[in-house]
Amino acid sequence: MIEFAGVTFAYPSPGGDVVALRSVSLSVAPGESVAVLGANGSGKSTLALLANGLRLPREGSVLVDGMDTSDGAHVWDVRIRVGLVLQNPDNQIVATTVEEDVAFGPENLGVEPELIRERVARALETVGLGGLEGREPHHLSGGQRQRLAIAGALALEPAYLVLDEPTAMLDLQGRADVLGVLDTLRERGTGILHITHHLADAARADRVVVLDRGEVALSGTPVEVFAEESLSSLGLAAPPIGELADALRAAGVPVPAAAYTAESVVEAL
Amino acid sequence: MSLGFSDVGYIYGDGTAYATRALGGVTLELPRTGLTLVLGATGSGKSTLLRLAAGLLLPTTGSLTYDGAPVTGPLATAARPVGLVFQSPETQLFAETVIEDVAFAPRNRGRAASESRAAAERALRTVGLDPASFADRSPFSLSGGEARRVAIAGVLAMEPATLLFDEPTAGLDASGRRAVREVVASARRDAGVVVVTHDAEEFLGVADRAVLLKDGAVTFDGPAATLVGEPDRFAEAGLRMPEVLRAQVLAREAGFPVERFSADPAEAAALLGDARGASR
Repeated sequence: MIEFAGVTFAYPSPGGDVVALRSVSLSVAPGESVAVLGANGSGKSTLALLANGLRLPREGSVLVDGMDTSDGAHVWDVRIRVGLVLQNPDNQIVATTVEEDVAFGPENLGVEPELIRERVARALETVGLGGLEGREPHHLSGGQRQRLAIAGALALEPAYLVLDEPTAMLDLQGRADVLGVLDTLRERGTGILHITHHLADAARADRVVVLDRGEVALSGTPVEVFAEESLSSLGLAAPPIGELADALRAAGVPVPAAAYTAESVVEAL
Repeated sequence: MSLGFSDVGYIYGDGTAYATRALGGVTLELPRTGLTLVLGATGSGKSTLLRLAAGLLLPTTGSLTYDGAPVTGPLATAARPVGLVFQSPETQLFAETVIEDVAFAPRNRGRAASESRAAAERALRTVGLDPASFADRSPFSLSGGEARRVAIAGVLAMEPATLLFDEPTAGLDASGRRAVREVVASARRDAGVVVVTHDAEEFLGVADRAVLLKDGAVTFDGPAATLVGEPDRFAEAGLRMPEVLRAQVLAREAGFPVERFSADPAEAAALLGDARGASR
């Protein structure tokens, strides 16, 4: 379990500290997918950096399977358990071939070469990049590069995966592919903290937490959270398919609150 | 008159071992009025097309004309300038205040300080930012959507006759996207607007014309309304159909008598509501 308990974090600034998170409590269990929504500047990305100890809370604590990220003795264990995938895959792709890039993490940890090969093959298979081992990363499409970045994190066999807007730079197909990979990982028992500002992406999670200026404003299942009137005032708006669903609901068609796919709309008809 | 592509091809690193063809044989007229949407998957040649249209790249094969004259270099300084708004343009804000940043282009082109300031204030108003409250702020104190609109104002201050946008709403939250979409859509009052994006959903409802690119070639060129009526064109270009259109296509496949398709969510809901009523 990743547990944030009363976490406050501030970035130092010449004009006084800028508080990014204030008394945030939330948790992610193994096999659970939690989406964190919020407008630009709500503190979402800071949350990702706190989850694997790249930033440490000023107040409160972050525990990963019981280990406090602020305790220097646990720093490696925490980083191996919590994989981090950033918005722009180009910021975390390091090698000149797909295979070497995925192998980079376990090699650094001194994993046996034979085991590395197995892990690389398994990670690439999971993200649907099997067969592209020898390709140069910069010749891959945006969606493929983001899945490569995920494979790089998976090769460390993390118990949890934290993703900071992993679909922000992708086209619709690339987005669908990445979301499919996250569904697979969740089924296999990986805990997922998915930071996004796409309501349609968040609708697939088990739970949704909405951040507003560093504080938890709403939390619950997607259906509970998306039914809240206050959502649009938090800088979040339904995607066009959600507007269509809202309009149908207003006309008396029983469309569920988190109907952010064409299938769920047609189902309701 | 407009930007005319005649059998234009572009190869990066032409003549080297790394030669990569980005565009091949594109013939296209980008009109000086209305909003043209250029859609394509990652790697389809969209950004290359935009750089050619701005005169930042010159064709490897074929030719490009602007107002009937051959393009030989950057069009930002043409008599009727072409303005290009790059992806994430707010990363290029550099001045100490918003007004200085926006006035940079006209100043740089030799216009008087007072004239440049007036042009910058007009541009800020056009993007929906009141100069009285924004002019003296630091560009680094703005929200993501505001910073992007300041960057767009910086291009508008050149008073371009043609405006090119590369993924104008990427990376913004919902309110930022809505504000930028409105700015882009209303820019066509004063200029021909070309928007290059992989997010068909965002602009299909407001576009006049649509061009689909796949692997460096045009697979569709026509009114945006025609594209909405022929949604199979998306798959043909290797793109996923916008979800609102897909709902209507699926409903028709499921036997609902959907009369026609719409890219507008409210209109689509009305059409689907009617189809549901008719099938009961």
